[in-house]
Amino acid sequence: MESITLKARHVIIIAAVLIAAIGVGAYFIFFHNPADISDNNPSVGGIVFKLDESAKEYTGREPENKGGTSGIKIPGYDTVRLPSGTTDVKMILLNPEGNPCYFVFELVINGERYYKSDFVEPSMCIEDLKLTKPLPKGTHTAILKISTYSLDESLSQMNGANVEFELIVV
Amino acid sequence: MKKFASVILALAFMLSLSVPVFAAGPGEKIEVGFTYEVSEPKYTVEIPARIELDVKEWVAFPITVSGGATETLNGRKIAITLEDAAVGNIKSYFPDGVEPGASAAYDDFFVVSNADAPNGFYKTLRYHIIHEISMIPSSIGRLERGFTFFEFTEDGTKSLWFVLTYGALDSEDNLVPFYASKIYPNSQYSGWIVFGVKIVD
Repeated sequence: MESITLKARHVIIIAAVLIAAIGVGAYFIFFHNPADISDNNPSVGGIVFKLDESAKEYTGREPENKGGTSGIKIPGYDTVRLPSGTTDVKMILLNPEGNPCYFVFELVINGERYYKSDFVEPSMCIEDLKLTKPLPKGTHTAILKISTYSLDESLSQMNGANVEFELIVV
Repeated sequence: MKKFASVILALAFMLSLSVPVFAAGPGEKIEVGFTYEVSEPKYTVEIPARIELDVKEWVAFPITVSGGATETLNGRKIAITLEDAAVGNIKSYFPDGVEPGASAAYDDFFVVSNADAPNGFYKTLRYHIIHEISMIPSSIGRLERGFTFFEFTEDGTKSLWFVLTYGALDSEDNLVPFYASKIYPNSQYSGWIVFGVKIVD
């Protein structure tokens, strides 16, 4: 009787180990793919692709564009007013509808970068900017650097623009 | 009486809750928030998406300013400038086995590149930018940061012309680059330019 009990116990243990092994194997085969890690932020030619999570669909009045369909539409600014003493500011950074590329925005003042976005798709904009530090009070010449990358997997660099405007910080 | 007192007390309690929270007593600071209009783009400038060149022909790329620039400018101008570009030196222009001239030691020439071009073919090609059609091709052959291509006083379109560096005439009197046969066929040579956009007086 005792030997039969031991046998049964052995069988149960072995069966449990087998089931566990099959389960782990099935997990690795069907659900775990190391590429999943890189798919979230694929890297192409040294560029880490990540859509900007704060980007949203632009619903404002987009300046009428009478250009063609093969170029890149760059938004231009006149005078921008932003508050001092805070790193949370609002300004529309727009990638106009119909553009053939992603935008990456950088806000540079007096040679110092205060903000950089992730990739922004056409028709999307960023309104809430989280600056690296508060802006200095006064009137400045600011530059919005717009780098562009193709929409396909190559993310090849396309022509870009540095948009200069007057920034008043109060 | 008790009921009346409790009603009075309840009313007093409600009144105390309704006092504005920002009410300040003597000597206390009141925070005044700064509100501002969220700045949006006022105009649009359309630039070429890529530099794509033809072996023999000049290629025109339009630059268009639109979106009410005329109203925004109010007597000022929108300047389109040259800020940066993919550049190379003259030595990289020549294919393997071809030595440049003794004086060919310049840097910052505009180039388009093809990393897939095999040995014996150009990996880079030089080009010129012509911003006025009447000017000779060698007018802008090197990077000059801040160079102004155009100034717009109202919505409109102007063209930039791009052409590969000329070398000689072929049998049909077409200008062709040096060693045209060394351009890797059916493949892409690409480059990039960063344009400056700003309102000036």
